[in-house]
Amino acid sequence: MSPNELLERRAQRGRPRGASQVWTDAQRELHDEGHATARSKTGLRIALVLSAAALMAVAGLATLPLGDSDSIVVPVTSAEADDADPLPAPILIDGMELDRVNRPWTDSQEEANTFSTESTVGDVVSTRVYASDVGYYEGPVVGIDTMSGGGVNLWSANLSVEALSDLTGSIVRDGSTWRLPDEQELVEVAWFEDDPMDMLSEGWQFDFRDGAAEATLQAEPGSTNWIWLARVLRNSSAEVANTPSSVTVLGSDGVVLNDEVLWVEDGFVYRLTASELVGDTWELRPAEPVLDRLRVADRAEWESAVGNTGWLRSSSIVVTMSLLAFVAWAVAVAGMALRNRKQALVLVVVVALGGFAFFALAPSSLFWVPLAALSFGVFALLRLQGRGGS
Amino acid sequence: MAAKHQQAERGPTSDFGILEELYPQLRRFAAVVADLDVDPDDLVQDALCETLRRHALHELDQPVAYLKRAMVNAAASDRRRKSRWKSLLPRLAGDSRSADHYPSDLSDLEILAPLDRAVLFLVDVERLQHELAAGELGLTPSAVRKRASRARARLRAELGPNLSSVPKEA
Repeated sequence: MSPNELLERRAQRGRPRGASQVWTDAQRELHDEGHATARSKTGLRIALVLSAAALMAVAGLATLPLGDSDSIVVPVTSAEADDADPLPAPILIDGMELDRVNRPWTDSQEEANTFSTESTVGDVVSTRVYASDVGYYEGPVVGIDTMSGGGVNLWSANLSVEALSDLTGSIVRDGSTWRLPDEQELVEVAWFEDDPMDMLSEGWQFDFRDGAAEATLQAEPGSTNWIWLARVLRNSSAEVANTPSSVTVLGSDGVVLNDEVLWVEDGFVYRLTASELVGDTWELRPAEPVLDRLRVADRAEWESAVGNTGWLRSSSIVVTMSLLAFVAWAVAVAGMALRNRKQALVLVVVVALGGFAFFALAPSSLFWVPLAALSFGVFALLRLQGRGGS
Repeated sequence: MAAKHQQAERGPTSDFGILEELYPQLRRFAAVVADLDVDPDDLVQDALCETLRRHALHELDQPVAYLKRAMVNAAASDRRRKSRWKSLLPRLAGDSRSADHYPSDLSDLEILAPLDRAVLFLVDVERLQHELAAGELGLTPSAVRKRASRARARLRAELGPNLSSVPKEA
């Protein structure tokens, strides 16, 4: 069979439906398309409006000062909180922007944290602290934890490891607890009938940013200086002796310990740390140079600064929103890619540029929220234009 | 757009009249250009819809050329889409699915692309001049000559023993 015969046979294949039937079928298809387009346009307009609303909401939340009903003066931990609840001092850092505020933990978070850090050698049932009666930071500080199993744990500051070892061998039983022998030069300055680690559970955290530099100020309400000192020292003195040095911070006595600066003021323990972004990791830096830039601001100014970061206070909401927004964005892009690759490419480029701009201005954790809103907006616009405009 | 469709009344100068007049040659063309698993009338319908979305047939200077190009484009797109799946199917279900269990003479022409089949059909079967075929397919006359020549050469190379006569080059 020749190619021409093959072509002729192929041209005659099948049973023709006829011009009339093809015309009717085409008209029906176009008619159905018209209805589908109208429905799709409605959906796209809704998506456009929602996108704009989401962007406005994000922008609004970013700048909205906290109202009375959501005042920062009410700690999360107390449902019956009143105006007597303590607030940390309105401290700001010159040259750095208050970037994030974490309010005191909730009870459930505290329980979870307690559970996760539970000791395998028993709980601390009491702690006795010994120090020089001249001053906290002038001489050795020794803490003796009595454990629930009857054991003992020593920690110290301004004391060599050898000296601490000698002290460990000299401690004596005192009823149900352990103490230093009377002949020691150190005097007992505090006795906690509980674990100091558990006594400071409500903490504020303020993160300040200036480019790649970050400073973190933590504030915990504490009834005595020794609670925080015991807590801090016990956290960091497991292996080597620490050598705290005294410093004055905003008129209060403080201590420099392992690049951190701690001080006490109005019943709050403040802890200042500094770090710097090197590559993609944050490396700790001495916090002492930042001290000169600390200032006690006017309360209204401070609340305004905190209010501007109010949308970041609940990290769980941020994470949830970010995940949802990311999923929405991915679905939008995937949908576009399946329908129209060119539009998908335009969408990705536009969103990438918008996202980059936002990323440069906003915390990375919220990157996906306006990105998703922008995606839906561009998506809807492109689809509307592709269907002949609205 | 809907109004445009509805205004096509059934008369000799209406869109339907134009289609009715062109249908026999469009149907034959579609049967050649479309792959064997595509109903030729479906291809005619797709091309008609694609055209009517943009123009009424009576607005076009050469509706037959427009419709034929639309059919070639639709057939080529369909072939590309299917070739992507065919490249995946053997991996998913084994090579047996990609083979035709019931080969026929009609399937011999499947080795050619839709546009090449269109060129051969118009030039060798419908006996159109290269210039006219080029006008209908949106190609240049030289492109039509080259395509026709290469298509014939490919048929000779692939199906030589089974073909009684493959036209020599003009």
